[in-house]
Amino acid sequence: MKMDISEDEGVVKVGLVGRLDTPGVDAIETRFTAALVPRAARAIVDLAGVEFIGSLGLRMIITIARALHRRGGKMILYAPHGFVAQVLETASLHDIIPVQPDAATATAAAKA
Amino acid sequence: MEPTGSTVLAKHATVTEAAALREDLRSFLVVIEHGEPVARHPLGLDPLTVGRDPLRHIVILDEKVSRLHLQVALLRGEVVVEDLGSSNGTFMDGERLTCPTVLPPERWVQVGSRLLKHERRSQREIEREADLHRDLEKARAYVQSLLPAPVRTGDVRTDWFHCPSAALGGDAFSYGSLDPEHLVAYLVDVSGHGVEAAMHSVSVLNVLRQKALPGVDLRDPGQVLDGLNTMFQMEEHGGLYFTLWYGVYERSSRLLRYASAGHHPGYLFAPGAPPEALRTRGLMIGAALGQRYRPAEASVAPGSVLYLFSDGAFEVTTPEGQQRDLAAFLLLLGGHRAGTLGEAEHIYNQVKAGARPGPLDDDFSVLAVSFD
Repeated sequence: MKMDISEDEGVVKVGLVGRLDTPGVDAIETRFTAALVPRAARAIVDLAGVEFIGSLGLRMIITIARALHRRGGKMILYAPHGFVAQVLETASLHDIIPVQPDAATATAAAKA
Repeated sequence: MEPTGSTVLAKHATVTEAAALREDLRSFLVVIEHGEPVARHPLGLDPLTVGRDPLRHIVILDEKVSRLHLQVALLRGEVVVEDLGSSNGTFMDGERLTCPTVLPPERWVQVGSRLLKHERRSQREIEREADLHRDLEKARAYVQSLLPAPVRTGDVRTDWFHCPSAALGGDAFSYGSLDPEHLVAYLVDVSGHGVEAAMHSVSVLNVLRQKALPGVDLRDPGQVLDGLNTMFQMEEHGGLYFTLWYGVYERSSRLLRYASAGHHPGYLFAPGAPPEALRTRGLMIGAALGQRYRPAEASVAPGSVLYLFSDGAFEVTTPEGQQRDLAAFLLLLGGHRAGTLGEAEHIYNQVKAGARPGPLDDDFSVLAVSFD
């Protein structure tokens, strides 16, 4: 699992590539959380490179999104496709975490 | 500052204990198959031979393993591996061994599809691990004991198969009568697997079995999901959430009322009709307070079979590394064995046959409910 973190105009962009299964989550969870939660970031998360998401991947995303929400930050997901989009839909994740089609709409939602 | 007498004694005891532990350490060769240790052999004065021949100390039934493949010896406290001219070789770190080679602790060599790992363990550690294994087996037996027996007779029958991916899993399900008119069936899938997921699924199962949701009519799936969501918020339960499919069948009207929380559909197969996906939109239980879960209903035709299953039943990786999906899994349901005894295990065997070797990636549960 690869994770790339950058920042542009106050929005933190997290790019994920690989499988968000148990080893994938183990590989990034601490760094992912540390990069966003303490600073109450406005974050967009690029899921275009994620080919699989399991229950632990969903759990990590929900936990970080909830922690951000409590601190006044926010998380927007964008560009899920195929299997990952199907899992997010089944889990009704859109009800608590916005999911956008691309980086531009995600960034606009993060700044709003 | 001078150390106190008690401190000195404590240090002395610790050092003594550590020395005793060091003396007790022994080398073992552990056979690992599909990522799981399957045997542990102590290394002593005599070398251990490894091969396909039944006369070897360690027999590996693998066509890529020669009849006499390699030997492992303990020489001056070091474990040395020597390939004995095998056809397909012995590998360490991807390199084929060409001469006797020291195998350090916690490292391994590959022989065919198996790994042979060098472990340095004390007798005390081995006994501790055996105790832990026994405890896990007891816990597994307890979880299994909570799953209801299949119902073989009557107007509504059940068949199921459950196989956790670890010793303990996060799947659980149950069914039974709420009153003479209403039958309930549900399946819970806790995020992750292993001990913490199993403990959580047992908590949920016991709340439902003991009818311990205050002010909730268990015949109303929406109320049940609302009540569970209030009771099992992630922050108060170790960061765990769960998905759930919950349905209640009313005998007189043949109506099935159901609701789901972050779970894929249950599938109702009626004779001569395409399968009906039964799902309501709803967030997984525990992810956010204040959710309102709305139920839906379906008419159950005579001869129908309802299938509930966990995502581990279809999120399977093939031997080629491809991800299987729900559509492929649905092809295994509703065939000529629908509603027959052993159908759920047959489905498991078919899923397993199409998956890469070793345990499945996630817990597997399939529950089939057949209606006269």
